Amino acid sequence: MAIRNFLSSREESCKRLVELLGRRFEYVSVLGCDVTTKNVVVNRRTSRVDADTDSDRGFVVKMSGGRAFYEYSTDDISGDIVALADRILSEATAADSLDDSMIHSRPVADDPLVKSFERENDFDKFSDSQMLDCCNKIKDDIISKSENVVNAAVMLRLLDVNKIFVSKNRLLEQAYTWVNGIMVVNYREGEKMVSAREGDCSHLLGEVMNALPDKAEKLVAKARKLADAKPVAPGIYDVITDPSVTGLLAHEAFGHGVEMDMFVKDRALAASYMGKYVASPICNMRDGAASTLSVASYFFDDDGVLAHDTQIIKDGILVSGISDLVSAGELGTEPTGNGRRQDHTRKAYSRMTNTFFESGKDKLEDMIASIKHGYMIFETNNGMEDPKNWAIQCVAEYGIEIIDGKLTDNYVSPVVMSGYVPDVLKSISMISDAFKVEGAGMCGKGHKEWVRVSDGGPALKLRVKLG
Amino acid sequence: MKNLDIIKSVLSNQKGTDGYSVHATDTVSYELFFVHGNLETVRKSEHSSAQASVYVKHDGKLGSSNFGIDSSASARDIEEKAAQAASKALMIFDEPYELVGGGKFVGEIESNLCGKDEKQIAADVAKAVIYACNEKDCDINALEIFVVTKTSTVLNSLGADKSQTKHTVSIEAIPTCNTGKESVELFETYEYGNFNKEAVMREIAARVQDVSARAKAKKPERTLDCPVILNPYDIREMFEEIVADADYSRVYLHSNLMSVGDKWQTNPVGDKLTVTMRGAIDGSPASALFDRDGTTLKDVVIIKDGVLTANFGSNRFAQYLGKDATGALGCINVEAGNTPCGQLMKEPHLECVYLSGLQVDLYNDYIGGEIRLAYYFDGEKRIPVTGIAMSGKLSEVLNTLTLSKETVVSGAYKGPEKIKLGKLTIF
Repeated sequence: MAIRNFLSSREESCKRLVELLGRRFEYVSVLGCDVTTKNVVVNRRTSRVDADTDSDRGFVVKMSGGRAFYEYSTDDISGDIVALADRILSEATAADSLDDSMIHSRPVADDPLVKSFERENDFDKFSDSQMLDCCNKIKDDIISKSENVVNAAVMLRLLDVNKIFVSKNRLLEQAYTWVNGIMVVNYREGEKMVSAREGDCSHLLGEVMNALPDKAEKLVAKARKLADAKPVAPGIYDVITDPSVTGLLAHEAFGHGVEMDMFVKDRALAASYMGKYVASPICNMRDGAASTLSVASYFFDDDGVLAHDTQIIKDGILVSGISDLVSAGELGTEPTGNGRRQDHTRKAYSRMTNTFFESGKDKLEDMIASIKHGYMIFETNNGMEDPKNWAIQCVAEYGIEIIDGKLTDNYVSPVVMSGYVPDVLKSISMISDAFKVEGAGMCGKGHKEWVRVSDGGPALKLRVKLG
Repeated sequence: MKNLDIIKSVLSNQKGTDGYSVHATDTVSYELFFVHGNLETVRKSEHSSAQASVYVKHDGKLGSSNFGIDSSASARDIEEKAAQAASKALMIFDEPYELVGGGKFVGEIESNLCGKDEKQIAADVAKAVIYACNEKDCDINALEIFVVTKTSTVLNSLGADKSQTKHTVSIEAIPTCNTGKESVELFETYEYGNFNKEAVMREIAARVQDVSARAKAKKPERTLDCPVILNPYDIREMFEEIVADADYSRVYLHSNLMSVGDKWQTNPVGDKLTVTMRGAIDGSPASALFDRDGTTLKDVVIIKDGVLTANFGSNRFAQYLGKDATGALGCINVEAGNTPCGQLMKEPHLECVYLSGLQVDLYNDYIGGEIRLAYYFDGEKRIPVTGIAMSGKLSEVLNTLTLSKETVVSGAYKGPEKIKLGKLTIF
């Protein structure tokens, strides 16, 4: 097993800590994290090769004894474990005045399992010099394509995850990698400055380094078009979303809305819509670390629950939510392997992983041909959820006007899509037969707790407000 | 950070390097998580880490490489990482610059949280928030409280040895209103450098009233055509985008939109904007005494009467541009206007209370967003509305500002409590 020494050397200490704290609490677990990163970044005037500048190394201890959950995050579990256990018991406590307000929690299931998971990777096959050369060549190529390019940045972001999970009955280990390649161009035409991006991602660095160079031409061509882009006239339109925006829609419309810690807090309208139509009957939507291979494809979550493949919407009907250990316990359901932390210093919440609409049967050209006047919109910029009241806002980088069933040369940017979730999802009338999931996303819970996510799917045809 | 002396010793003696810098943080966070007023999780987090950089002069250029160091790293671990970073730095051909000069400094951002018991503060905050929610049919569905003490230390090979400690309280509260069939909420976050129980209670009580209004809010029957008033959170979002364009790094990389002398307000028919970037603002959680390079922060007026007058930013890019290093200033001070809030809100307007997220796109000259709750004042009545959006050209909107006389501190922002904007389409 390719777990690095930092975690493997602490395994016995973790077991000892679980045993000591287990004398006081019914349930104790330790999650150990050793997440290393490498960033290779070049632009027109600077460059860098950095290691572990956004790494995560440390442990979080979780305890429950039938009332509130207690957690203690620390950078290391080694040395005097008895003293550490004493410190945890004294530090992870609440003021006496809050005793009466604590929840009563169900016992946590701790089914026996000992397992190691590992996914192949090729990070060792490429030197820093090769990665830097790759980025510099692409950057120079982008710059050479137009004198209007004022800056070009090319990045390789490598993520190498090691985690262990230790409880009384479980010992799990996992090792996997992910890499994002990103290219950004700043392009000036007259007074107008625009920014455009392209990217690629994989668990294999070689795949990304091979794919990026071919996208330079497209990147600059897109920037040229965006320099001529106009704002979209506010209104309601027939719209086709590209897989990126489809993924954003899945994420914001029903991803956040079915995170079941929101059910516990009565913060999600979806809780009362289980078994009911929430989307067009041609819609199917899934989430799960085991649903596809992308950035959030771990083998077990930060609660030690194995990865799932969860169907959220089936034929337009809402059939399931996604949960972490605590929220599943409070709801009396099985956790779905969606307990995720930003890092070892943060709490676990119910979080999305790889979220997408399933593909349909329509051809994209038929979808475009079916629109008299509307837009095809491309590339996620950002979005905001509202699980309680089902308002939604999705911002796409740009759109292309469709007139009389044909894509024109008329670009619009930015494109803000908004509406009421059921109205938007029930308006979906065509779904393409293509499928693409993009693994470059970061998702916050509210305005914090950032985790890496992917989302995507096919192209969707829907009717929605743009502005 | 317990191994800071080891880090300093190893990097000082690292062969093949011409300098180093270290930015270390020690963070202690005590956290409470409530659901419907019941305590669900108690957390304590004690975390230390450092980011180090080594510098190598070669071929008339400067190479550097950054790497992370955790608090359990031994001297040998650090030596290995530093050696790897030194070899990476040889592949980098950046323009040379000098590190920030040395000197010992120990400081603490002023706060009434200093020396207080974290558990008691968190309990007091919880009680204040829950007590403030006393509107009929309203509840705080979820409440998260973070009491954080963070010490930042900067060391470098020119002898800098500076540390500063900051105390903050963050609150995420979800007031909810349940009226028969309808249940609505507002998502609110607050971050304070000082804890003022009465101020927290006022904020929460106001939001609870808003959520009660949201339950009654309806989509307007006709298209609204009136000025829009933004609240402090969205004002801050707007100015964060605008001031980011003035950062030295953007200028050096030619990705800035505005150059010194350019007009943010080309033809102002309302108040003229004056914006100062500051290192510290009393009560702001973004306050700092120096930045991560160790540069002592210097306030600078970047926009005067609507015209960009200066850029600001960190040591490296300041040297590249031949400018004074102001440091990475984190606080935005917008000069107040002369119009009292009462007068500003006298005419018909749409007061945005809660947006999905204000979208400001400088390159595309865009401002807009989906409105989850606003009050439409028709000249007589204040009517809660929802289900609408707004958009406009940022350059045109900035010409129409009316800035309130009253000021407020909200996160990194201090300035007018209300700003009225024209030229926005509401749809």
